[in-house]
Amino acid sequence: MSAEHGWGSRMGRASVAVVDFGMGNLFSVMNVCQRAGLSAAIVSTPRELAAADAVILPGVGGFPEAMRVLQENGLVAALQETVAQGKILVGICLGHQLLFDESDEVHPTKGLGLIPGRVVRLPQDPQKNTKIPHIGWKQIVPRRAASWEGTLLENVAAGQHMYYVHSYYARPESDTDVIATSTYDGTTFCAAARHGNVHGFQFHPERSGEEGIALYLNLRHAVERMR
Amino acid sequence: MTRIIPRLDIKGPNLVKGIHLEGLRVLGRPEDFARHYYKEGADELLYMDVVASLYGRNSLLDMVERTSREIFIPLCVGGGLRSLDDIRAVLRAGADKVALNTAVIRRPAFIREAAATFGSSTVVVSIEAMKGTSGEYQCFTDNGREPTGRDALLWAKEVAELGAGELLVTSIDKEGTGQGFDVDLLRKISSAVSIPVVACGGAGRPQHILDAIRRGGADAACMASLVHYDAIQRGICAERNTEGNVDYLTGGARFTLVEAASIPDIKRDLAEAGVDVRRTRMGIQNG
Repeated sequence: MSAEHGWGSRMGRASVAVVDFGMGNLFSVMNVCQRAGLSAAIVSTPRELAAADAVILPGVGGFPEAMRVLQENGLVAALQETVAQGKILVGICLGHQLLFDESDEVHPTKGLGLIPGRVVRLPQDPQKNTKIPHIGWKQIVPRRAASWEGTLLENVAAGQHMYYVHSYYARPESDTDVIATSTYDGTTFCAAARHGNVHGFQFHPERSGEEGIALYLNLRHAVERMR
Repeated sequence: MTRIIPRLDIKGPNLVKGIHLEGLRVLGRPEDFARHYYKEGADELLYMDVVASLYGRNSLLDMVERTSREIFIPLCVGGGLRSLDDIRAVLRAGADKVALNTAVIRRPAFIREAAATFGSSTVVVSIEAMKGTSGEYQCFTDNGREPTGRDALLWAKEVAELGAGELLVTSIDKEGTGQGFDVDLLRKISSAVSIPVVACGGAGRPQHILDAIRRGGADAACMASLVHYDAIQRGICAERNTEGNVDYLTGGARFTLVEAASIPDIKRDLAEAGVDVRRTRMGIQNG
């Protein structure tokens, strides 16, 4: 899968750039993209990024390290430019957290600033011996009055289980940016966020079985509609 | 939420199971079992390479690659991973996390290095423990063959400090017996660390899993024979020309050590006991 300029439109299918910044489960994301009929390529430079119809920012690891690598490779500006152009950007797990203004992880670190809000640590109640990282499947539910129609969760049934592995979570400043929530050991946190064409998922849709694949199918349809 | 994780012991192209006094019995092709478990609602899969030699590694990587192309749940891979390069190869093949034992007992700092390079949540430390005469537990490596002199509880605490994301705790005494997990061992470790603990070794019926969770404080459970023999009875090992005693495997002979159960069976029993489990539509239909 070539990442030369224009490869997306030449291939005639919805094309997605999966950002490789050295930290993340690229291969599972690529496998699910393929399964969902999304033409996907791994990219690591601003130039390659510019050629895609949509961008997925995956990520596993630490926030400060991720921002450092993105900054070093010119990807911070490139991702902000992607969004400014109206393209869809999807952040997954750490990638979701990076979309926000700042994270408390290790030390307060600036994020991409694409969705107003902060990233904080999951509370650990010593009395309950809450296990961190939170690892496992949790149900996702729509935020109060919100519907998932028109979002990447369209047609996903409320209450579906999705797979999580994280120690931090994002708190969007605006309630309307919260699309879905999950609850772990008494803490209800943002499972899915959306701010314009920027979408974030704290869970791993590419590890969440068939329901997670549905999300990638929605991404494909969304990108096809935009072309 | 409690995770149910089938464990597949892999030797070359085969799914195997260690049988007391018999060695390794070939059960069939891992891919067939993995696909079946995915459909039945397994929450994760664990592949343990029991040969763990350089020769066997490519075969394992191929299998990981094939699995991750069609099975979209987390996959943990362990067995003979010694270096950052070994870990990287397995992750590139599609695994989500790695289980480390020997390499980190020999050099605990490797946990920090692996966690720093790949993320804490990618690093699972596998503790194989055997109960000693005075009730303490000793760590072993090499599938329970090599004693290390390390106390399992102290080691578990150290491992958590060094940045491991999860602990996989196997009782060597219980493994393969179908008599249940070592709930005592699990309880001691799970109450001493604040990272998730996965129980491994000994499940003979669904009740054992409930015990591991309720009395042992485990966050997840692995099982091998319990589900493999159920899968075999349902015709999962389709090929007639695999190594091993196929007639024995499929001939309806009772496997006296385990009361074979499917993943939907296990989850139904857990749900009835009030345990939070994920039940898929397919799983409920088949259960």
